[in-house]
Amino acid sequence: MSANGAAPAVEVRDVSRWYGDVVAVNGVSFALEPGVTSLLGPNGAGKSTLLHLMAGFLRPSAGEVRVLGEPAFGSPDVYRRIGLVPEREAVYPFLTGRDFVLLSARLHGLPDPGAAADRALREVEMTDAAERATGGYSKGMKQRVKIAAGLVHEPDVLLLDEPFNGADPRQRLQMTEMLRRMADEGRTVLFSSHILEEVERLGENVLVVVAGRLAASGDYRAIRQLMTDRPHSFTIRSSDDRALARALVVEESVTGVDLADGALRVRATELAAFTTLAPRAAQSAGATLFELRPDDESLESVFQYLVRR
Amino acid sequence: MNAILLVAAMTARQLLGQRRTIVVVLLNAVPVLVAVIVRTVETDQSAAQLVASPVLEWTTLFMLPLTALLLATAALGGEIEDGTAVYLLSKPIPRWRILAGKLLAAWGATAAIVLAGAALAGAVVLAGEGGWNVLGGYLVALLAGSFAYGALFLMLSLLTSRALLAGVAYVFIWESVITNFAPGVQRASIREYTLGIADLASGAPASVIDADLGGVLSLILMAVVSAIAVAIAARRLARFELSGEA
Repeated sequence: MSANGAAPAVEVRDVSRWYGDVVAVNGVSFALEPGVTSLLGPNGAGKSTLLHLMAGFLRPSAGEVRVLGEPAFGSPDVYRRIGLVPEREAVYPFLTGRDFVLLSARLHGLPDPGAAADRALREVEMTDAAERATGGYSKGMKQRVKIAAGLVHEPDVLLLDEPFNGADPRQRLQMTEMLRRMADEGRTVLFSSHILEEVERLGENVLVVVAGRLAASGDYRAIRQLMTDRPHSFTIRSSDDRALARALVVEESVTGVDLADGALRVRATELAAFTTLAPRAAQSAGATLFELRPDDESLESVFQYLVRR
Repeated sequence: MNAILLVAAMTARQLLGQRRTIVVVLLNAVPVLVAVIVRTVETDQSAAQLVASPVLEWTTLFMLPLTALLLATAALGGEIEDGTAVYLLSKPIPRWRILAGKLLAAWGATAAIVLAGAALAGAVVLAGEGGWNVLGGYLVALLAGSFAYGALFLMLSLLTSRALLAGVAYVFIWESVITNFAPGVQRASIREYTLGIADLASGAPASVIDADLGGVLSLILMAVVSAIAVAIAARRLARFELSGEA
Protein backbone atom coordinates (compact mmCIF):
# COMPACT_ATOMS: atom_id res chain seq x y z
CA MET A 1 0.00 0.00 0.00
CA SER A 2 1.17 3.55 -0.67
CA ALA A 3 1.37 6.29 1.93
CA ASN A 4 -2.24 7.34 1.33
CA GLY A 5 -3.49 3.76 1.68
CA ALA A 6 -4.25 3.30 -2.01
CA ALA A 7 -2.80 0.40 -3.98
CA PRO A 8 0.45 1.27 -5.80
CA ALA A 9 0.07 2.11 -9.47
CA VAL A 10 2.05 -1.01 -10.33
CA GLU A 11 2.86 -3.76 -7.88
CA VAL A 12 5.18 -6.63 -8.78
CA ARG A 13 5.36 -9.16 -5.96
CA ASP A 14 7.80 -12.11 -5.94
CA VAL A 15 7.39 -12.47 -9.68
CA SER A 16 9.24 -15.08 -11.69
CA ARG A 17 8.78 -15.97 -15.29
CA TRP A 18 10.45 -18.84 -17.03
CA TYR A 19 10.32 -20.27 -20.54
CA GLY A 20 10.94 -23.99 -20.27
CA ASP A 21 14.27 -24.25 -18.46
CA VAL A 22 15.21 -20.63 -19.04
CA VAL A 23 14.48 -18.23 -16.19
CA ALA A 24 13.88 -14.76 -17.63
CA VAL A 25 12.76 -13.04 -14.42
CA ASN A 26 13.52 -14.41 -10.99
CA GLY A 27 11.77 -13.42 -7.74
CA VAL A 28 11.38 -9.73 -8.56
CA SER A 29 9.40 -7.39 -6.28
CA PHE A 30 8.86 -3.65 -6.52
CA ALA A 31 6.09 -1.07 -6.50
CA LEU A 32 5.74 1.97 -8.72
CA GLU A 33 4.14 5.23 -7.66
CA PRO A 34 3.34 8.27 -9.82
CA GLY A 35 6.46 9.76 -11.39
CA VAL A 36 9.02 8.62 -13.92
CA THR A 37 10.92 5.38 -13.37
CA SER A 38 13.50 3.99 -15.75
CA LEU A 39 13.98 0.29 -16.26
CA LEU A 40 17.61 -0.46 -16.99
CA GLY A 41 19.59 -3.58 -17.67
CA PRO A 42 21.90 -5.13 -20.22
CA ASN A 43 20.46 -6.94 -23.24
CA GLY A 44 18.72 -10.16 -22.22
CA ALA A 45 18.47 -9.07 -18.57
CA GLY A 46 14.69 -9.45 -18.49
CA LYS A 47 13.53 -5.85 -19.09
CA SER A 48 11.08 -6.68 -21.86
CA THR A 49 9.75 -9.68 -19.95
CA LEU A 50 9.09 -7.43 -16.95
CA LEU A 51 7.38 -4.82 -19.13
CA HIS A 52 5.24 -7.49 -20.79
CA LEU A 53 4.30 -8.87 -17.37
CA MET A 54 3.20 -5.39 -16.26
CA ALA A 55 1.35 -4.83 -19.56
CA GLY A 56 -0.64 -8.05 -19.13
CA PHE A 57 0.98 -9.78 -22.09
CA LEU A 58 2.69 -12.45 -20.01
CA ARG A 59 1.35 -14.50 -17.16
CA PRO A 60 3.78 -14.76 -14.22
CA SER A 61 5.06 -18.30 -13.65
CA ALA A 62 5.09 -17.40 -9.95
CA GLY A 63 4.10 -14.31 -7.98
CA GLU A 64 1.67 -11.56 -8.80
CA VAL A 65 1.54 -8.44 -10.95
CA ARG A 66 -1.17 -5.88 -10.23
CA VAL A 67 -1.81 -2.62 -12.03
CA LEU A 68 -3.95 -0.08 -10.16
CA GLY A 69 -5.10 -2.92 -7.92
CA GLU A 70 -6.18 -5.22 -10.77
CA PRO A 71 -4.33 -8.34 -11.96
CA ALA A 72 -2.44 -7.32 -15.09
CA PHE A 73 -2.96 -10.58 -16.97
CA GLY A 74 -6.35 -11.52 -18.38
CA SER A 75 -8.11 -8.24 -17.49
CA PRO A 76 -8.78 -6.23 -20.67
CA ASP A 77 -10.54 -3.55 -18.58
CA VAL A 78 -7.20 -2.60 -17.05
CA TYR A 79 -6.22 -1.13 -20.43
CA ARG A 80 -8.60 1.76 -19.81
CA ARG A 81 -5.92 3.07 -17.47
CA ILE A 82 -2.74 1.68 -19.05
CA GLY A 83 -1.01 3.03 -22.12
CA LEU A 84 1.47 0.72 -23.79
CA VAL A 85 4.16 1.64 -26.29
CA PRO A 86 5.81 -1.56 -27.54
CA GLU A 87 9.41 -1.72 -28.67
CA ARG A 88 8.78 -3.27 -32.07
CA GLU A 89 8.75 -0.75 -34.86
CA ALA A 90 5.85 -2.22 -36.85
CA VAL A 91 2.71 -0.12 -37.24
CA TYR A 92 -0.09 -0.60 -39.76
CA PRO A 93 1.67 0.77 -42.85
CA PHE A 94 -1.54 1.41 -44.80
CA LEU A 95 -3.00 3.72 -42.14
CA THR A 96 -2.11 7.39 -41.89
CA GLY A 97 -0.64 8.54 -38.60
CA ARG A 98 -3.95 10.15 -37.71
CA ASP A 99 -5.96 7.04 -38.60
CA PHE A 100 -3.62 4.93 -36.48
CA VAL A 101 -4.13 7.13 -33.41
CA LEU A 102 -7.84 7.50 -34.21
CA LEU A 103 -8.21 3.71 -34.31
CA SER A 104 -6.69 3.55 -30.85
CA ALA A 105 -9.06 6.28 -29.59
CA ARG A 106 -12.08 4.50 -31.07
CA LEU A 107 -11.10 1.13 -29.65
CA HIS A 108 -10.84 2.82 -26.26
CA GLY A 109 -14.42 3.99 -26.75
CA LEU A 110 -13.53 7.66 -26.16
CA PRO A 111 -16.47 10.08 -26.48
CA ASP A 112 -14.69 12.34 -28.99
CA PRO A 113 -12.03 10.15 -30.63
CA GLY A 114 -11.15 12.72 -33.30
CA ALA A 115 -10.34 15.45 -30.78
CA ALA A 116 -8.40 12.97 -28.58
CA ALA A 117 -6.35 11.80 -31.59
CA ASP A 118 -5.55 15.38 -32.61
CA ARG A 119 -4.50 16.26 -29.04
CA ALA A 120 -2.23 13.19 -28.80
CA LEU A 121 -0.66 13.96 -32.19
CA ARG A 122 -0.01 17.56 -31.08
CA GLU A 123 1.57 16.22 -27.90
CA VAL A 124 4.18 14.30 -29.91
CA GLU A 125 4.52 17.03 -32.57
CA MET A 126 3.20 14.84 -35.36
CA THR A 127 0.33 17.03 -36.55
CA ASP A 128 2.09 18.05 -39.78
CA ALA A 129 2.79 14.44 -40.84
CA ALA A 130 -0.50 13.04 -39.53
CA GLU A 131 -2.13 12.66 -42.94
CA ARG A 132 0.75 10.63 -44.39
CA ALA A 133 0.75 6.81 -44.41
CA THR A 134 2.82 5.42 -41.54
CA GLY A 135 4.52 3.05 -43.99
CA GLY A 136 6.58 6.04 -45.20
CA TYR A 137 7.53 7.26 -41.71
CA SER A 138 11.06 7.26 -40.34
CA LYS A 139 11.80 5.16 -37.27
CA GLY A 140 11.55 8.23 -35.04
CA MET A 141 8.19 9.24 -36.52
CA LYS A 142 6.81 5.74 -36.01
CA GLN A 143 8.01 5.89 -32.44
CA ARG A 144 6.18 9.18 -31.87
CA VAL A 145 2.95 8.04 -33.48
CA LYS A 146 3.08 4.87 -31.34
CA ILE A 147 3.43 7.06 -28.27
CA ALA A 148 0.47 9.18 -29.42
CA ALA A 149 -1.62 6.00 -29.77
CA GLY A 150 -0.47 4.89 -26.30
CA LEU A 151 -1.46 8.10 -24.55
CA VAL A 152 -4.58 9.01 -26.56
CA HIS A 153 -6.83 7.90 -23.67
CA GLU A 154 -4.73 9.79 -21.08
CA PRO A 155 -3.77 6.70 -19.09
CA ASP A 156 -2.76 6.72 -15.41
CA VAL A 157 0.06 4.30 -16.15
CA LEU A 158 2.22 4.58 -19.26
CA LEU A 159 4.61 1.72 -20.08
CA LEU A 160 7.15 2.38 -22.82
CA ASP A 161 9.63 -0.13 -24.18
CA GLU A 162 12.72 1.65 -25.55
CA PRO A 163 10.83 4.82 -26.57
CA PHE A 164 13.96 6.72 -27.59
CA ASN A 165 15.03 4.22 -30.24
CA GLY A 166 15.34 5.92 -33.61
CA ALA A 167 14.57 9.40 -32.27
CA ASP A 168 16.97 12.23 -33.10
CA PRO A 169 18.36 14.44 -30.28
CA ARG A 170 15.66 17.09 -30.67
CA GLN A 171 12.91 14.46 -30.64
CA ARG A 172 14.48 12.84 -27.58
CA LEU A 173 14.48 16.13 -25.77
CA GLN A 174 10.87 16.74 -26.71
CA MET A 175 9.95 13.22 -25.59
CA THR A 176 11.68 13.57 -22.24
CA GLU A 177 9.85 16.85 -21.65
CA MET A 178 6.56 15.18 -22.50
CA LEU A 179 7.16 12.22 -20.19
CA ARG A 180 8.23 14.52 -17.38
CA ARG A 181 5.07 16.58 -17.92
CA MET A 182 2.96 13.42 -17.70
CA ALA A 183 4.68 12.48 -14.46
CA ASP A 184 4.07 16.00 -13.10
CA GLU A 185 0.37 15.48 -13.85
CA GLY A 186 0.41 12.55 -11.42
CA ARG A 187 0.79 9.69 -13.90
CA THR A 188 3.07 6.72 -13.47
CA VAL A 189 5.55 6.48 -16.32
CA LEU A 190 7.87 3.49 -16.67
CA PHE A 191 10.21 3.21 -19.59
CA SER A 192 13.06 0.94 -20.53
CA SER A 193 16.03 2.42 -22.30
CA HIS A 194 19.61 1.81 -23.26
CA ILE A 195 20.24 5.52 -23.58
CA LEU A 196 21.48 6.46 -20.11
CA GLU A 197 21.82 10.14 -20.99
CA GLU A 198 18.07 10.33 -21.49
CA VAL A 199 17.39 8.28 -18.39
CA GLU A 200 19.54 10.63 -16.33
CA ARG A 201 17.77 13.62 -17.79
CA LEU A 202 14.35 12.19 -16.99
CA GLY A 203 14.75 11.48 -13.32
CA GLU A 204 16.50 9.70 -10.54
CA ASN A 205 14.28 6.68 -10.02
CA VAL A 206 15.62 3.54 -11.63
CA LEU A 207 14.98 -0.18 -11.58
CA VAL A 208 18.11 -2.08 -12.55
CA VAL A 209 17.62 -5.64 -13.74
CA VAL A 210 20.60 -7.93 -14.15
CA ALA A 211 20.28 -11.59 -15.18
CA GLY A 212 16.56 -11.65 -14.40
CA ARG A 213 16.94 -10.27 -10.89
CA LEU A 214 16.30 -6.81 -9.55
CA ALA A 215 19.82 -5.55 -8.82
CA ALA A 216 18.73 -2.18 -7.42
CA SER A 217 15.77 0.17 -7.26
CA GLY A 218 15.29 3.78 -6.21
CA ASP A 219 17.24 7.01 -6.63
CA TYR A 220 20.46 6.08 -8.42
CA ARG A 221 22.45 8.61 -6.38
CA ALA A 222 21.23 6.97 -3.18
CA ILE A 223 22.07 3.58 -4.69
CA ARG A 224 25.60 4.86 -5.35
CA GLN A 225 25.92 5.97 -1.72
CA LEU A 226 25.02 2.46 -0.59
CA MET A 227 27.81 0.91 -2.65
CA THR A 228 30.29 1.02 0.21
CA ASP A 229 32.47 -1.59 -1.49
CA ARG A 230 33.09 0.89 -4.33
CA PRO A 231 35.26 3.87 -3.27
CA HIS A 232 34.16 7.20 -4.74
CA SER A 233 36.58 8.55 -7.30
CA PHE A 234 37.39 12.26 -7.76
CA THR A 235 39.51 14.28 -10.14
CA ILE A 236 41.14 17.32 -8.54
CA ARG A 237 42.98 20.25 -10.08
CA SER A 238 44.85 22.58 -7.78
CA SER A 239 47.77 25.00 -7.69
CA ASP A 240 49.97 22.25 -6.14
CA ASP A 241 48.67 18.75 -6.83
CA ARG A 242 51.76 17.07 -5.34
CA ALA A 243 51.45 18.83 -1.96
CA LEU A 244 47.72 18.19 -1.88
CA ALA A 245 48.31 14.48 -2.63
CA ARG A 246 50.70 14.30 0.33
CA ALA A 247 48.09 15.90 2.59
CA LEU A 248 45.31 13.62 1.43
CA VAL A 249 47.11 10.28 1.46
CA VAL A 250 47.40 10.27 5.24
CA GLU A 251 43.66 10.69 5.72
CA GLU A 252 41.83 7.56 6.92
CA SER A 253 38.91 7.91 4.48
CA VAL A 254 41.24 8.22 1.46
CA THR A 255 42.02 4.82 -0.03
CA GLY A 256 44.17 5.83 -3.00
CA VAL A 257 45.88 8.78 -4.68
CA ASP A 258 47.25 8.96 -8.27
CA LEU A 259 49.08 11.76 -9.96
CA ALA A 260 48.85 11.41 -13.72
CA ASP A 261 48.13 13.50 -16.85
CA GLY A 262 48.42 16.76 -14.92
CA ALA A 263 45.60 15.87 -12.54
CA LEU A 264 45.19 14.32 -9.15
CA ARG A 265 42.87 11.34 -8.84
CA VAL A 266 41.67 10.36 -5.39
CA ARG A 267 39.60 7.44 -4.15
CA ALA A 268 37.67 7.95 -0.93
CA THR A 269 35.24 5.83 1.05
CA GLU A 270 32.63 8.55 1.61
CA LEU A 271 31.35 11.13 -0.81
CA ALA A 272 30.01 13.73 1.61
CA ALA A 273 32.94 13.51 4.03
CA PHE A 274 35.45 13.95 1.22
CA THR A 275 33.83 17.13 -0.06
CA THR A 276 34.58 18.79 3.30
CA LEU A 277 37.94 17.06 3.74
CA ALA A 278 39.40 18.14 0.38
CA PRO A 279 39.26 21.94 0.96
CA ARG A 280 40.68 21.48 4.45
CA ALA A 281 43.56 19.37 3.13
CA ALA A 282 44.20 21.93 0.37
CA GLN A 283 44.39 24.70 2.94
CA SER A 284 46.84 22.75 5.10
CA ALA A 285 48.98 21.94 2.03
CA GLY A 286 48.99 25.59 0.95
CA ALA A 287 47.32 24.73 -2.35
CA THR A 288 44.41 26.42 -4.09
CA LEU A 289 41.63 24.14 -5.34
CA PHE A 290 40.56 24.86 -8.95
CA GLU A 291 38.33 21.87 -9.54
CA LEU A 292 36.89 18.96 -7.55
CA ARG A 293 34.91 16.62 -9.75
CA PRO A 294 33.32 13.26 -8.79
CA ASP A 295 34.14 10.75 -11.55
CA ASP A 296 31.67 7.95 -10.90
CA GLU A 297 28.49 9.49 -9.55
CA SER A 298 26.80 9.38 -12.95
CA LEU A 299 24.03 6.93 -13.71
CA GLU A 300 26.33 5.23 -16.17
CA SER A 301 28.90 4.49 -13.46
CA VAL A 302 26.24 3.21 -11.09
CA PHE A 303 24.82 1.05 -13.87
CA GLN A 304 28.24 -0.33 -14.79
CA TYR A 305 28.97 -1.17 -11.16
CA LEU A 306 25.68 -3.00 -10.78
CA VAL A 307 26.04 -4.93 -14.00
CA ARG A 308 29.63 -6.01 -13.27
CA ARG A 309 28.87 -7.25 -9.75
CA MET B 1 -18.71 2.07 -34.78
CA ASN B 2 -18.47 -0.87 -32.43
CA ALA B 3 -15.21 -2.69 -31.77
CA ILE B 4 -16.04 -5.75 -33.90
CA LEU B 5 -16.75 -3.64 -36.97
CA LEU B 6 -13.72 -1.41 -36.34
CA VAL B 7 -11.42 -4.42 -36.16
CA ALA B 8 -13.11 -6.00 -39.19
CA ALA B 9 -12.81 -2.84 -41.29
CA MET B 10 -9.16 -2.35 -40.37
CA THR B 11 -8.37 -6.02 -41.06
CA ALA B 12 -10.18 -5.94 -44.41
CA ARG B 13 -8.03 -2.96 -45.47
CA GLN B 14 -4.97 -4.80 -44.28
CA LEU B 15 -5.88 -7.98 -46.20
CA LEU B 16 -6.74 -6.17 -49.40
CA GLY B 17 -3.38 -4.39 -49.42
CA GLN B 18 -1.36 -7.58 -49.25
CA ARG B 19 0.38 -9.42 -52.09
CA ARG B 20 -1.31 -12.65 -51.10
CA THR B 21 -4.65 -11.06 -52.03
CA ILE B 22 -3.43 -10.73 -55.61
CA VAL B 23 -2.51 -14.42 -55.48
CA VAL B 24 -5.98 -15.44 -54.30
CA VAL B 25 -7.68 -13.25 -56.90
CA LEU B 26 -5.62 -14.92 -59.64
CA LEU B 27 -6.35 -18.32 -58.09
CA ASN B 28 -10.07 -17.62 -58.27
CA ALA B 29 -9.78 -16.60 -61.89
CA VAL B 30 -8.88 -20.21 -62.74
CA PRO B 31 -12.50 -21.49 -62.62
CA VAL B 32 -13.48 -18.68 -65.00
CA LEU B 33 -10.79 -19.86 -67.40
CA VAL B 34 -12.00 -23.46 -67.00
CA ALA B 35 -15.56 -22.28 -67.64
CA VAL B 36 -14.53 -20.59 -70.88
CA ILE B 37 -12.78 -23.79 -72.03
CA VAL B 38 -15.76 -25.96 -71.00
CA ARG B 39 -18.08 -23.67 -72.90
CA THR B 40 -16.09 -24.05 -76.11
CA VAL B 41 -15.77 -27.87 -75.94
CA GLU B 42 -18.46 -30.14 -77.48
CA THR B 43 -19.93 -32.46 -74.81
CA ASP B 44 -23.02 -34.54 -74.02
CA GLN B 45 -23.25 -33.21 -70.47
CA SER B 46 -25.83 -30.59 -69.55
CA ALA B 47 -24.79 -27.10 -68.52
CA ALA B 48 -25.95 -27.91 -64.96
CA GLN B 49 -23.67 -30.94 -64.84
CA LEU B 50 -20.75 -28.98 -66.28
CA VAL B 51 -21.12 -26.15 -63.80
CA ALA B 52 -21.26 -28.64 -60.94
CA SER B 53 -18.25 -30.58 -62.16
CA PRO B 54 -15.58 -29.63 -63.01
CA VAL B 55 -16.14 -25.85 -62.65
CA LEU B 56 -17.57 -25.34 -59.15
CA GLU B 57 -16.30 -28.62 -57.74
CA TRP B 58 -12.78 -27.30 -58.34
CA THR B 59 -13.71 -24.09 -56.60
CA THR B 60 -14.93 -26.10 -53.62
CA LEU B 61 -11.97 -28.47 -53.59
CA PHE B 62 -9.14 -25.97 -53.99
CA MET B 63 -10.05 -22.32 -54.49
CA LEU B 64 -12.21 -22.04 -51.38
CA PRO B 65 -9.86 -23.70 -48.85
CA LEU B 66 -6.70 -22.08 -50.25
CA THR B 67 -8.27 -18.62 -50.36
CA ALA B 68 -9.54 -19.01 -46.80
CA LEU B 69 -6.17 -20.34 -45.68
CA LEU B 70 -4.20 -17.44 -47.15
CA LEU B 71 -6.57 -14.77 -45.85
CA ALA B 72 -7.52 -16.19 -42.44
CA THR B 73 -3.95 -16.93 -41.41
CA ALA B 74 -2.95 -13.40 -42.44
CA ALA B 75 -5.85 -11.80 -40.55
CA LEU B 76 -4.39 -12.42 -37.10
CA GLY B 77 -1.33 -14.65 -37.45
CA GLY B 78 0.44 -12.01 -39.53
CA GLU B 79 -0.18 -9.37 -36.87
CA ILE B 80 1.05 -11.64 -34.11
CA GLU B 81 4.19 -12.29 -36.12
CA ASP B 82 5.01 -8.64 -36.84
CA GLY B 83 3.96 -7.40 -33.40
CA THR B 84 1.08 -5.13 -34.47
CA ALA B 85 -1.45 -7.39 -32.67
CA VAL B 86 -0.42 -5.60 -29.47
CA TYR B 87 -2.18 -2.43 -30.65
CA LEU B 88 -5.51 -4.28 -30.71
CA LEU B 89 -4.96 -6.52 -27.72
CA SER B 90 -3.97 -3.66 -25.39
CA LYS B 91 -7.45 -2.18 -25.56
CA PRO B 92 -10.30 -2.54 -23.05
CA ILE B 93 -12.23 -4.86 -25.32
CA PRO B 94 -13.09 -8.50 -24.58
CA ARG B 95 -10.75 -10.56 -26.74
CA TRP B 96 -13.61 -12.50 -28.33
CA ARG B 97 -14.72 -9.26 -29.99
CA ILE B 98 -11.32 -8.82 -31.57
CA LEU B 99 -11.53 -12.41 -32.77
CA ALA B 100 -15.04 -11.79 -34.12
CA GLY B 101 -13.78 -8.77 -36.07
CA LYS B 102 -10.91 -10.78 -37.50
CA LEU B 103 -13.23 -13.66 -38.46
CA LEU B 104 -15.72 -11.27 -40.01
CA ALA B 105 -12.98 -9.74 -42.17
CA ALA B 106 -11.46 -13.10 -43.17
CA TRP B 107 -14.91 -14.52 -43.95
CA GLY B 108 -16.00 -11.44 -45.88
CA ALA B 109 -12.81 -11.24 -47.94
CA THR B 110 -12.79 -14.98 -48.67
CA ALA B 111 -16.48 -15.08 -49.58
CA ALA B 112 -16.24 -11.97 -51.76
CA ILE B 113 -13.33 -13.30 -53.82
CA VAL B 114 -14.47 -16.94 -54.03
CA LEU B 115 -18.11 -16.12 -54.74
CA ALA B 116 -17.15 -13.57 -57.40
CA GLY B 117 -14.99 -16.14 -59.20
CA ALA B 118 -17.62 -18.88 -58.82
CA ALA B 119 -20.50 -16.64 -59.93
CA LEU B 120 -18.62 -15.45 -62.99
CA ALA B 121 -17.50 -18.98 -63.91
CA GLY B 122 -21.02 -20.33 -63.40
CA ALA B 123 -22.54 -17.54 -65.48
CA VAL B 124 -20.13 -18.27 -68.34
CA VAL B 125 -21.21 -21.93 -68.44
CA LEU B 126 -24.92 -21.32 -67.80
CA ALA B 127 -25.48 -18.29 -70.03
CA GLY B 128 -28.48 -19.09 -72.21
CA GLU B 129 -28.88 -22.52 -70.54
CA GLY B 130 -30.76 -23.95 -67.53
CA GLY B 131 -29.32 -25.13 -64.21
CA TRP B 132 -28.98 -21.79 -62.40
CA ASN B 133 -30.24 -23.56 -59.26
CA VAL B 134 -26.91 -25.48 -59.18
CA LEU B 135 -24.98 -22.22 -59.24
CA GLY B 136 -27.26 -20.78 -56.53
CA GLY B 137 -26.76 -23.87 -54.35
CA TYR B 138 -23.01 -23.68 -54.72
CA LEU B 139 -22.93 -19.97 -53.88
CA VAL B 140 -24.84 -20.62 -50.64
CA ALA B 141 -22.50 -23.51 -49.80
CA LEU B 142 -19.37 -21.50 -50.62
CA LEU B 143 -20.60 -18.70 -48.36
CA ALA B 144 -21.04 -21.18 -45.50
CA GLY B 145 -17.76 -22.94 -46.32
CA SER B 146 -15.89 -19.60 -46.26
CA PHE B 147 -17.01 -19.14 -42.68
CA ALA B 148 -16.07 -22.66 -41.55
CA TYR B 149 -12.65 -22.62 -43.22
CA GLY B 150 -12.05 -19.08 -41.92
CA ALA B 151 -12.80 -20.16 -38.36
CA LEU B 152 -10.61 -23.26 -38.67
CA PHE B 153 -7.60 -21.43 -40.12
CA LEU B 154 -7.94 -18.49 -37.74
CA MET B 155 -7.83 -21.02 -34.91
CA LEU B 156 -4.74 -22.63 -36.44
CA SER B 157 -3.00 -19.25 -36.63
CA LEU B 158 -3.48 -18.89 -32.87
CA LEU B 159 -2.29 -22.39 -32.11
CA THR B 160 0.86 -22.49 -34.21
CA SER B 161 3.26 -20.14 -35.96
CA ARG B 162 3.21 -22.64 -38.86
CA ALA B 163 -0.50 -22.26 -39.52
CA LEU B 164 0.00 -22.00 -43.29
CA LEU B 165 1.81 -25.33 -43.37
CA ALA B 166 -0.73 -26.97 -41.08
CA GLY B 167 -3.55 -25.64 -43.28
CA VAL B 168 -1.93 -26.93 -46.46
CA ALA B 169 -1.57 -30.36 -44.80
CA TYR B 170 -5.25 -30.26 -43.83
CA VAL B 171 -6.40 -29.38 -47.36
CA PHE B 172 -4.06 -31.59 -49.38
CA ILE B 173 -3.51 -34.55 -47.07
CA TRP B 174 -6.57 -34.81 -44.85
CA GLU B 175 -9.32 -33.60 -47.19
CA SER B 176 -7.78 -34.72 -50.50
CA VAL B 177 -6.23 -38.05 -49.57
CA ILE B 178 -7.28 -39.47 -46.22
CA THR B 179 -11.01 -38.79 -46.62
CA ASN B 180 -10.92 -40.75 -49.92
CA PHE B 181 -9.49 -43.88 -48.33
CA ALA B 182 -10.89 -43.98 -44.80
CA PRO B 183 -14.66 -44.44 -44.74
CA GLY B 184 -16.47 -42.25 -42.26
CA VAL B 185 -13.73 -39.63 -42.16
CA GLN B 186 -15.78 -37.49 -44.55
CA ARG B 187 -17.67 -36.47 -41.45
CA ALA B 188 -14.57 -34.50 -40.43
CA SER B 189 -14.11 -32.58 -43.69
CA ILE B 190 -15.32 -29.04 -44.38
CA ARG B 191 -15.03 -29.83 -48.10
CA GLU B 192 -17.63 -32.60 -47.72
CA TYR B 193 -19.92 -30.35 -45.68
CA THR B 194 -19.69 -27.70 -48.41
CA LEU B 195 -20.60 -30.20 -51.13
CA GLY B 196 -23.45 -31.55 -48.97
CA ILE B 197 -24.86 -28.05 -48.46
CA ALA B 198 -24.50 -27.25 -52.18
CA ASP B 199 -26.48 -30.40 -52.95
CA LEU B 200 -29.18 -29.48 -50.46
CA ALA B 201 -29.42 -25.80 -51.46
CA SER B 202 -29.46 -26.45 -55.21
CA GLY B 203 -32.22 -29.04 -55.08
CA ALA B 204 -30.51 -30.66 -58.08
CA PRO B 205 -30.85 -34.38 -58.85
CA ALA B 206 -28.44 -36.61 -56.87
CA SER B 207 -26.18 -37.27 -59.85
CA VAL B 208 -25.33 -33.59 -60.43
CA ILE B 209 -23.36 -32.77 -57.27
CA ASP B 210 -21.01 -35.44 -55.92
CA ALA B 211 -21.84 -35.17 -52.20
CA ASP B 212 -21.09 -37.99 -49.74
CA LEU B 213 -22.92 -36.43 -46.81
CA GLY B 214 -26.56 -35.40 -46.52
CA GLY B 215 -27.30 -31.67 -46.65
CA VAL B 216 -28.81 -31.33 -43.19
CA LEU B 217 -26.06 -33.41 -41.58
CA SER B 218 -23.49 -31.27 -43.41
CA LEU B 219 -25.09 -28.09 -42.09
CA ILE B 220 -25.10 -29.38 -38.52
CA LEU B 221 -21.53 -30.68 -38.66
CA MET B 222 -20.28 -27.47 -40.26
CA ALA B 223 -21.96 -25.42 -37.52
CA VAL B 224 -20.45 -27.67 -34.82
CA VAL B 225 -16.93 -27.57 -36.30
CA SER B 226 -17.11 -23.79 -36.75
CA ALA B 227 -18.34 -23.29 -33.18
CA ILE B 228 -15.57 -25.48 -31.77
CA ALA B 229 -12.90 -23.66 -33.82
CA VAL B 230 -14.21 -20.24 -32.72
CA ALA B 231 -14.39 -21.36 -29.06
CA ILE B 232 -10.81 -22.68 -29.09
CA ALA B 233 -9.55 -19.54 -30.85
CA ALA B 234 -11.38 -17.25 -28.41
CA ARG B 235 -9.97 -19.11 -25.42
CA ARG B 236 -6.50 -19.00 -26.90
CA LEU B 237 -6.71 -15.26 -27.63
CA ALA B 238 -8.03 -14.53 -24.13
CA ARG B 239 -4.85 -16.13 -22.76
CA PHE B 240 -2.57 -14.75 -25.44
CA GLU B 241 1.03 -14.20 -24.38
CA LEU B 242 3.79 -12.46 -26.30
CA SER B 243 6.56 -14.81 -27.36
CA GLY B 244 9.58 -14.73 -25.11
CA GLU B 245 12.27 -12.13 -25.52
CA ALA B 246 14.07 -11.01 -22.41
